[in-house]
Amino acid sequence: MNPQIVPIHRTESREDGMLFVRTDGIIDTMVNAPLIVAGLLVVALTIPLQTSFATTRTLDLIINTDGSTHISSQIDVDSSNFELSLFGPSVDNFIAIGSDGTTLSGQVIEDKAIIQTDDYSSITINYDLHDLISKEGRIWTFSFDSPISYSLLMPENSVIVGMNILPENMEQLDSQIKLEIPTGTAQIDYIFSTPVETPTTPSESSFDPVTIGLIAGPIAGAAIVGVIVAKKRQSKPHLQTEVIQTENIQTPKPTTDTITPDTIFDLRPDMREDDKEIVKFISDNGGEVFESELRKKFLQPRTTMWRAVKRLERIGVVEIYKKDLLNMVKLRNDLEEEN
Amino acid sequence: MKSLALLTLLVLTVGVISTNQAFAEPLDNVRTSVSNYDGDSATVKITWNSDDSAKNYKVGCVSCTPNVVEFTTGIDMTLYSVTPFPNGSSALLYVISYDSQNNIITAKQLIVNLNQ
Repeated sequence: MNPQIVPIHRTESREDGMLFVRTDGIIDTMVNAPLIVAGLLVVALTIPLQTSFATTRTLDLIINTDGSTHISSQIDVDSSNFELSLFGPSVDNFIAIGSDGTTLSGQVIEDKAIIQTDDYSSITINYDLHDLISKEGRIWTFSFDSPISYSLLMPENSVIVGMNILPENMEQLDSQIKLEIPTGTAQIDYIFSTPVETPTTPSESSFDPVTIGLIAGPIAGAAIVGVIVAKKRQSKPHLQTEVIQTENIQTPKPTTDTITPDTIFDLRPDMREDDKEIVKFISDNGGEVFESELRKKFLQPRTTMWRAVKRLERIGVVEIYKKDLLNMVKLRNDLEEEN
Repeated sequence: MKSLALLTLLVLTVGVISTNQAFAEPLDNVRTSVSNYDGDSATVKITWNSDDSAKNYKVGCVSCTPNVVEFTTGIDMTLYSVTPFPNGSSALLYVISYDSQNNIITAKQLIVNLNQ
């Protein structure tokens, strides 16, 4: 017989379900846990303490026409070496100023600025940022998630065409709109009412052919009409023109062989008295005058004087010919006695 | 010479006026009229000058929630239920003119006081 030895205590322990735990690392665990908790508490407390060193009092944004945003902020600080988180890494023209206008030294590393505040309790920072504006086609989009409310001055001649927030206030300053925007994410779409001017190359003309045509066309038309009118005026002389011309035209010099009025009257005894006055006037003016001078002298209408001159021509006393487009009346020297 | 100069001036004047498109732009003259304002919203009618170079127009309300956008080929547009910004009675609207190739010719921002 092979008797089987079974330990009694082992069987009993299984029935009762007791659990035995190793106690080798319990001391380490008890020591480390408070340290970890204390460390977490220190970290948790340090974060608000750090932020309490700086309080942003004002935040003003100005959108420039080139797509950059000028940021100006007044901050209360409580340490001589202050680290500030900027609103983006593309920073230009950063400057920090003390409350009395003194420029403070600082350094910008990506989206952080370390400023020597020199014990000023309040500083103002200014910088340009290129991270807040994007452009697609002619639509520019301003996107900003602000921790505090702020003012936003839109660029000149911009037109807001979309907005996902409701500003607390709106003000129009000449051709700019100033908005007071609350905390949170804001997106504003805008365009420019007139295209932003870009420098033109010297070879480019400022006038296109259509504009030149529209301006030069009426001028050329006016010149053509002016020439036509001038031509017509020359071909149709009237009193004013004749007076001017008679001033310029020298009166014909008397000729030595001009027949005298008395001779004419002897040869034409039936001549009318008013015609005799005309003959005398012509004789007194060298034997030939313009018809216009006769009208001017005797104050006769054009047709009346023309009939008188033609009457004298018919009886052979005068001859009529054109001179400078005007009628010249000349006494005939070859007057013969009527049959 | 005097009459000739006057005639030239007349022709020039007629020429400038007849070719006025070269010197005028669409949306030179934009007018608004407000009606039915009940403290919350209003009806706004916008009219503008006719211009041959503009083929269609886009009208929108930025202060409305959600933003409103309408298109027309005419010279006026009526927007209903136009709402102002909070803390005031001013609504922010706009009109954009487009040419035949859908390029923007000009745009106008309109700040309309609904409490007229």
